[in-house]
Amino acid sequence: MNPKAMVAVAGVLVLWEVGVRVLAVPRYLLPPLSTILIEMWASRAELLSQTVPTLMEIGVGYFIALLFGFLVAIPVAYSRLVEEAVFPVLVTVQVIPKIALAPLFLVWLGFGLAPKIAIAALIAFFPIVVNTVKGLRSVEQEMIQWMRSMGAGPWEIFTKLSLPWALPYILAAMKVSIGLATVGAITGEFVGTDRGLGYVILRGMVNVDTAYMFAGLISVSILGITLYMLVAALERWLLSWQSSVEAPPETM
Amino acid sequence: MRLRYVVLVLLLAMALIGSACSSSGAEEPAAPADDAESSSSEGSGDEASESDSSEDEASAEETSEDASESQELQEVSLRLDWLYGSEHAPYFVAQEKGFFEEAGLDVTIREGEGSSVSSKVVGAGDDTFGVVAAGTVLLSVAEGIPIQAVATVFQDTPTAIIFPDGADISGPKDLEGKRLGVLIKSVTYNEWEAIADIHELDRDAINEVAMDRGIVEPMLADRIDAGIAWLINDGVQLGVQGQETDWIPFSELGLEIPSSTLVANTETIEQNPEMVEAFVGAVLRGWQYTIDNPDEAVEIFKEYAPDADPVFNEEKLPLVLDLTESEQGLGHSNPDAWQNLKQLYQDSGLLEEDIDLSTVYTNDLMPE
Repeated sequence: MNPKAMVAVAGVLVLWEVGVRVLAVPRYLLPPLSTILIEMWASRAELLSQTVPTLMEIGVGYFIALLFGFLVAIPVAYSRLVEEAVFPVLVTVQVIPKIALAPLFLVWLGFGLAPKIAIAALIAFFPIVVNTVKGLRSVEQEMIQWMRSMGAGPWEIFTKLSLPWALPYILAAMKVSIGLATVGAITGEFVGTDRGLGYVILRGMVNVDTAYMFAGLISVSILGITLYMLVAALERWLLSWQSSVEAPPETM
Repeated sequence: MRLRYVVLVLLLAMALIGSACSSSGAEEPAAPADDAESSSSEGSGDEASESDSSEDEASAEETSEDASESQELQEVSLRLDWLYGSEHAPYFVAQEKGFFEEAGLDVTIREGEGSSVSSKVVGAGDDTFGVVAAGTVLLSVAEGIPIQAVATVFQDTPTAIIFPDGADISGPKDLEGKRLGVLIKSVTYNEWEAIADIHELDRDAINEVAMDRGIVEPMLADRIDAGIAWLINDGVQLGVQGQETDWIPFSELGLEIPSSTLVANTETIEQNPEMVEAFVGAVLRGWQYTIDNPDEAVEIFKEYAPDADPVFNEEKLPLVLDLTESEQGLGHSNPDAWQNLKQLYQDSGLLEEDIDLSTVYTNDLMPE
């Protein structure tokens, strides 16, 4: 992070700490940041161990979203017929609030990691499809024709032209989807779980332990930010050859 | 990415502090009582007023007797601890029989989503009174939420080990090696941890399965061998669904603690104790009437809560009424039971600070 951003963030945190004390905000509404940090340190073993199941839910869900998003996007990108048949279904699924589906998943898939993975994958899936389709379709027709004229087959065109061309779009969606996968996993946990950071937040709420609840919240935030930064780093690495090309539009 | 991230963090922090400040600072927790006091001198007709709650069917209706009284009815609200069940019948009875009216109150009764929600809602002043489990009251007061229990409705906890009839369970030790459904969002989970502690159970040997809303479906589907829940709810419901069920109440396992209580905001109690006392009096009349006339109470309940399952609610009422039995008098908060509760929560680490129980409950607002 650059110095300016660090100063800004530090400013916000100081504002929180001081503001809450000066304005005498009750502890059960918003504890001072220091109280939460102390609680986080005291519960660090618990928080760390509870991060593991949540991380697994996000990771596996994300991977499934990427895989299926990609597999669905390719036929949709190259066939109008497939697009017209499949896209309305995709949009419908996307629009249904997953939190409404969560109790159903619990009944179908049980109380382990599976329903959370399913919800994470379902929410994270759509941007991958949309952006991959857009990216693949945005390849300049002339380039495709040119490659054909040089004797390139469809597979070669795909891997050597279309895919790299679509990469900025795909990576943009990947950055959005990792956040969505995180939301999905926590949503799944809120509906029924006995472990994970969502469980930590729930226990904090039910036990009226506001600091513990916030400890869980901040842990989730840290987890989400870390994962996002990993994907962003991946993007920078994969697209490093593109520095000479203008940056493509992003979905965010 | 960096600028966006910073702006987002800034906005979030400001929203956090902004919402916290506005909740704590200016709001008058005793607003309903205050409004009613000041409007009594004006001629405003607030009786038979349509309350803002859309699910409300329980708004008091004007009778000709009140027209002759100069006192306007004070508008107050009661947030229940859960969806309508016959354990709430007494409140509807108080409504129907005019006990609230005679106490000078126009009461709106609202369904709830759990004790921890009711406690926060009353603490924030969004509802005047609430039904909150004693354990949650204790933890809430420790956390600084401004509420106090003005009456103890359930003198014993309805939590029990519930299992299909004939299962090989005669005590908590028999749960080892079995699949046990636990409701982690509920106060019953805290009570379960206390029982496990008291009876020195090996929790690693018990396959605890977290449930969300209840243990009925999983038990019917044979996904769990037993469950920890309220015998008056899940226990009876299983029987109604056709499964012969048995249970071991926690109160017989050494957990002598209170359960549901009636709470009010501390500022309300301070500024308007007569109103609170009148409310408690009316509620206790409702309970006594229900104890003396259970069949009529059930009929009144069905009227006010037509969507609730009538069979289930009729079945459970006798068990519900058993829980209110008290040697010191209906609704009385038993100091020994509350002390047990505090000890338990301290032993299990739920309650970290020492707290003066006189701030948690009071018997001062009982009718004479």
